Amino acid sequence: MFSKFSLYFYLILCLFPITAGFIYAFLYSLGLIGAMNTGFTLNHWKDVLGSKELLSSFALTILISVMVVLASWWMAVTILRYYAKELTKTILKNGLLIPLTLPMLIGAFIVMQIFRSGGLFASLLYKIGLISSAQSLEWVNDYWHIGLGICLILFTLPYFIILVLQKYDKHKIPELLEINTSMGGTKSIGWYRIAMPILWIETKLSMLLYGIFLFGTYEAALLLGRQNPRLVSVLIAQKLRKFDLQTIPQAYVLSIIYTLLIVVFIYLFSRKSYHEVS
Amino acid sequence: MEKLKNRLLKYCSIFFVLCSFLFVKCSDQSNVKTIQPKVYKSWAAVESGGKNSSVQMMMWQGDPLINAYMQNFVIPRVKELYGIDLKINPGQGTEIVKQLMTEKEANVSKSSIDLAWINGETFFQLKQLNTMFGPFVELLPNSQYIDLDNPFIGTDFQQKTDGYECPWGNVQYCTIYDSLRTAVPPQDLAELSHYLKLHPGKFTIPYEFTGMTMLKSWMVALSEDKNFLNGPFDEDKYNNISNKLWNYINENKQNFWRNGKTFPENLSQLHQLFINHEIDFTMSNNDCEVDNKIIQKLFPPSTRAYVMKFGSIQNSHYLGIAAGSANTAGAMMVINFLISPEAQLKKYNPEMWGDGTILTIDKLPMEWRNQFANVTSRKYSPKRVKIEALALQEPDPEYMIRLYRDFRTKVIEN
Repeated sequence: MFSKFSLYFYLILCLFPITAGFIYAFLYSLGLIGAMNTGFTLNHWKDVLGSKELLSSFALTILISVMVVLASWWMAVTILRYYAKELTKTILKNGLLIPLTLPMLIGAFIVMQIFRSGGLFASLLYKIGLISSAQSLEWVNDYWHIGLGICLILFTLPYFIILVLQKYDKHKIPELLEINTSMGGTKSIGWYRIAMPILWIETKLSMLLYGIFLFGTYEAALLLGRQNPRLVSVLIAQKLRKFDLQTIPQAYVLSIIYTLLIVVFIYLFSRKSYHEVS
Repeated sequence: MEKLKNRLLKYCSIFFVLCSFLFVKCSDQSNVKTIQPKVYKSWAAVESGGKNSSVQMMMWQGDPLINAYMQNFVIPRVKELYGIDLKINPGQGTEIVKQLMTEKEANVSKSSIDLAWINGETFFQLKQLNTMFGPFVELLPNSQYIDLDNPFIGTDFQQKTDGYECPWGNVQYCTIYDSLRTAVPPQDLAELSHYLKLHPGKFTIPYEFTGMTMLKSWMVALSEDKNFLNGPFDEDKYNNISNKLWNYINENKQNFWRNGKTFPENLSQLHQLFINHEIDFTMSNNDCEVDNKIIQKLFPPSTRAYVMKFGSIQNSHYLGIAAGSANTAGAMMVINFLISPEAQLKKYNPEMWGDGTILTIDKLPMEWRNQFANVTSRKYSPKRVKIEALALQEPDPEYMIRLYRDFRTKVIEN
């Protein structure tokens, strides 16, 4: 009885507003509602689907999310391999939580101040003679999204370290590695053939969810990202907020595509997991 | 399992249809019962309706001097004179539009905004949405000191204001440079190209309102006709002149900051680049900005501002009342105070704000004329009389919309 009630409560509290918002966006994109719309039209969909920006923005956003998640996971696992004992110490463990308490906007500002041209990092490199001028280092709004990548990794890495550390203990990986060594396996084989596959399988879902979270990142992308192509969240916000009221339905079209893409991702992942379990 | 799927699909479809019906029905504007703003026939009636009330004002709050002017002078003064509680909420341009548009779409009968600080493109959008109260300007006693026939005051982005917004201040675009770093700043586009060749990376265009305002004056420069952009938006005219503009920018952009691959998204970022010596020029739509920023110690005292010889856009900023305001009387009283000689004089002082007045000094009583004449003059900004001869009118808002769109496709994405 209680579980049934919880389910209904969840449906009303979470799914109802989201679904209603989705329907609102859909109707808006078709010109059926909205102060500036005049009636049913497919023009907004045609405009968005026919633009180069759609593909480049979505591709860039997916690429950055995947790269950041994979890089953070790799770094977290590597740190765990060499510093597993140290990471169990309370001070270090708590220290890892600090970046997670910061809002993304603050983190983005910090990265901007440190890594912008003429910033702290550039000045340091200039002082030790590694670059010719403090202005020559461009890691903010740069072509390769280095500044944005650093910022997102700074937020993702501590979470992944905590996550893999937890799985490391839970699945008794140190003991498994010891057995491997006692049976004549090298440390390296133990790590790549035993520890990493377990950690990969156990953290896969969290990686996907974190990837989805990064897919929607806005503040860091706005402050540190490139202007062309823009990340999807920035593109949508700018379509909503610029002076041209006619682009508002396009923002809703993009939001719908965004939502559908996430739903497809989750569906494919859950189907794969279901088959794996079966 | 199959049964559960079918049931879920059925419920989802019902939910979808119900929601769609509800949204479409709710967005139908024909049966909306919104508050009909009270129409006042006399100022005495306005005063009796607005005294001792509360007024919600939405305005940009990005400048400490402007904030101090509102908090330390305007708010206490309207309380003292009329008993009005003036509450200021942060928000500008598109935020005001979004707020009023959302209220309109949701059929909210009473707006959360009474009064808003707006300028041309916001006025254009709010008029499109029919969310502005008016006409009210002629009812304000202090409007007698404003020359509404002046095209830089009574016309906003080529649209007659028709009493739907009241002028509050008048400014002119200026280019800002450091006289110690740049002894002779470029005076036209040819000189700018030459300067960029000698000093690559020292110039950029912000992809925001002020940057686009500068591009409008560049279009005028390329047309060689001061009145080229006057009148309603003309597609052929725009295509012809904007092609020249994009060619000019693209030919020079390898010498822009970061080779023209990225552009600052806001003016404070541009100011920061200027302060850090990364670029040699910044800009402002307020011709008194240099004094203002030197007083705040943000710019060095060697900073100066000027207008290139082809001219720059001069425009006014305005105060408007939301159509759904429940306190139009209170809002009108606040506006009347803000355009009073007392409030305008205070605002005119560079140490306070340094905003150009919309009052015609000759129309003022002698005591006020003398006081305006005795205001500590701007020290570093160009004299108003000098740059006024180079003033260009704001073109139709469609030019701004097109510049925004095309700057992205023809320059940023090129």
